[in-house]
Amino acid sequence: MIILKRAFVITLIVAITLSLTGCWNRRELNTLGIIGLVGVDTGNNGIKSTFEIIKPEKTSKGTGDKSQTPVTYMQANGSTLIESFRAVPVRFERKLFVSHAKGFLFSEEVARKGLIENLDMILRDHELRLTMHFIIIKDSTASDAMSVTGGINTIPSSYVEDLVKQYKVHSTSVDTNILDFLKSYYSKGINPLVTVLKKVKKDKVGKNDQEEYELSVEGSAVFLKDRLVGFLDGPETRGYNWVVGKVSSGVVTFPTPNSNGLTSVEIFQAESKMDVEVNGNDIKIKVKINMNGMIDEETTTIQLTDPAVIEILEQANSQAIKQEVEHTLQKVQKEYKSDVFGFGQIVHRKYPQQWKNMQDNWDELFSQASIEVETEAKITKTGKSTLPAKE
Amino acid sequence: MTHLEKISPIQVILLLSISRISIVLLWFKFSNQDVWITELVSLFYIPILCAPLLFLSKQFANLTITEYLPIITGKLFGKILGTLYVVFFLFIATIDLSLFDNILKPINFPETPDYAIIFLALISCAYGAYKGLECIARSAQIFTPQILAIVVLYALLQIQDMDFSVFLPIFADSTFFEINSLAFTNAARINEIILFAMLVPSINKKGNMNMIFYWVAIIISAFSLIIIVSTLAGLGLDVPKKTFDPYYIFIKQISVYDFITRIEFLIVAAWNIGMFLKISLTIYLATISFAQVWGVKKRKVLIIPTIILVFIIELKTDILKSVIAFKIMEYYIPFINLFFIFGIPVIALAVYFLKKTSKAKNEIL
Repeated sequence: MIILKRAFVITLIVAITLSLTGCWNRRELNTLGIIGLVGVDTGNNGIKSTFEIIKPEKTSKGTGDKSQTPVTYMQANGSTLIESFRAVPVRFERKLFVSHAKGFLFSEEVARKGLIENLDMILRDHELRLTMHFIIIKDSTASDAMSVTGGINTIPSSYVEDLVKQYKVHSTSVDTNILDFLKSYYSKGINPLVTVLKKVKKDKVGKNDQEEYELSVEGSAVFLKDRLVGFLDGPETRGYNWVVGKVSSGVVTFPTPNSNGLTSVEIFQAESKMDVEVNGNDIKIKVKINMNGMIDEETTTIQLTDPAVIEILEQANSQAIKQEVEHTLQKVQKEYKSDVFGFGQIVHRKYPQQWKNMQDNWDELFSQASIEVETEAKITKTGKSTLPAKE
Repeated sequence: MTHLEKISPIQVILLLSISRISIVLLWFKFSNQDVWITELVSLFYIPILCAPLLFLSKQFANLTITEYLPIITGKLFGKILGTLYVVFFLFIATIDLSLFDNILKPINFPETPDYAIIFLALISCAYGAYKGLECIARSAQIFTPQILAIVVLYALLQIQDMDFSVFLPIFADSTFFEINSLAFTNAARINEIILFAMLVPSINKKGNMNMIFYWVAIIISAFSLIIIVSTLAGLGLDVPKKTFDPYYIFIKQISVYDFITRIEFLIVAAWNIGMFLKISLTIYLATISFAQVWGVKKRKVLIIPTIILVFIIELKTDILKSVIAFKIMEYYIPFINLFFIFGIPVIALAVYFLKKTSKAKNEIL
């Protein structure tokens, strides 16, 4: 009996050991097509998806030779997004692996029709991450923009990701991911504002006759719910960033008072406070912005050692920010009628009872609201120089 | 027979806490922004709902619920009620296993057939049930603190991306009645009091048994609150309503300086261990309560028939369908629980007092 029991246990251990050699859903690296970017355009059946698939052997060499692209592209049509994904293996030998995708690019044409139908698959699928960059391609197709590598990085997806992350340096763009979009889409009292990329001609330097392109991340895309309604340019996008408190760096340039020159102030820190006051039918949007920075460039001969002069420059700096913010608020209010700032959410929190009557036509009410912008700039440093270079 | 295995109060607290938290980690209904308040308010309803069972457990501290029900209600009625509890434990094991499969399969094992997931899970849990209560409780003592630490770690790692301004003032979107009815439903989901009523005779230092269960309720509420608040602050108020597994989606977003990222494997480990403990415990309790009700001397012989029964129910009914499983979890579980947490114990309590009163009268006469 003991021998029989031991034999049974040994057989069981061997059987279990055999089953531990690999998992049911195993995917070896050499069977996967690792996707870097997904581009979505309108296609024959409805959707045309373009996939940037990374070639591991090319990226590992790291020669920087741009003639040898480290990626390959596949395109497929489908009536739904997942159908276009599953149409790729008909002509591609590896299984697409989307977990490492850095971004989803949608063409302007697709975005103007509404995006939420395409996002259901992203929310439902287990491989995709909601932290992927969410980008609208302006003036061209997503597939066209995907192949551009204008910088140092030879992998387009890494180039796009690094470019988008630069928003912190200039504040004239935004970095949105799919989760940001969904949060704004589902919430009442706010609409999405999304990253924009535009394929632009590269300035020719030297005797290069070949036409070269690069991507520009300046600006942003304004949505009304899930539908693209327009764009903001760079300064307007920074106006948005001032309002929502997302300006982290950049330069404010303004005419130096009482002279013909310009002053550039580097932003050290910026804060904003948004508020809304509702009195009957009157809605007042209030924004208060505080900034402190350092003079980075002065083209006139003014005395930067004089505190009174600094005060004058601070006022001019405040005025420049105020104009930028007011222009953005008015454009978004009057032209797009879409509260991308989230003032509606403040009303919801502050006036929960009134909000019940306002929530369904908030964007219309937002477009008619009066604006009050208060700005305060402090110049705390004047750089390494005391006097301007110009005498 | 049942009281040979002894476990400490701390083991009971950790075992029952993880029994509920492992479910919250898998699934939680984010009905509106006030779910975090309802979790706190439910602390008021939990003692009310659990009072009858706690009282009976105190009166019959050396017996399990399936042992003292025949004493109170009579042999036949007691057997019927005891059998209902056996069915309840089997049902909890089955629905929890279905929930586990419905979350695990789409996320980790989309190509693995359901039968393989269910079979492997049941084999592991059967082993746990076979080894007995002491083994399950010791495992809970080892793993529960680790799982709770994972919950705290996830919250801390994602704190930079949490937006607490999404929370609206209390009553901004819901009424006093709505908050209270949700809190009551939340309290009714905590069926761990029934598991507690089965474990009472095995507790080696009984002391204040009410306090043991209050600690369970406090740990469950505190960690559920961490899970709920961090998910809402991380995903906003509306995205969690759209998915079955918002907490997992929340965890997938963790990226600290692009350095600490893709650490959701920890939650998958927590799911596996948590569900192993919970299902092992319910299978153990199903076999032991069956043995007590029907006088079977060796409970271990019941384990294989039990897991075969659960396996067949899982595969031959619609309970594995996500629509069915989540509907049961969302709408039916509180009512089913209420019947076993409050309904039967209140009847038993009424009979107990009736008998006591008539006995006292007879003695006077």
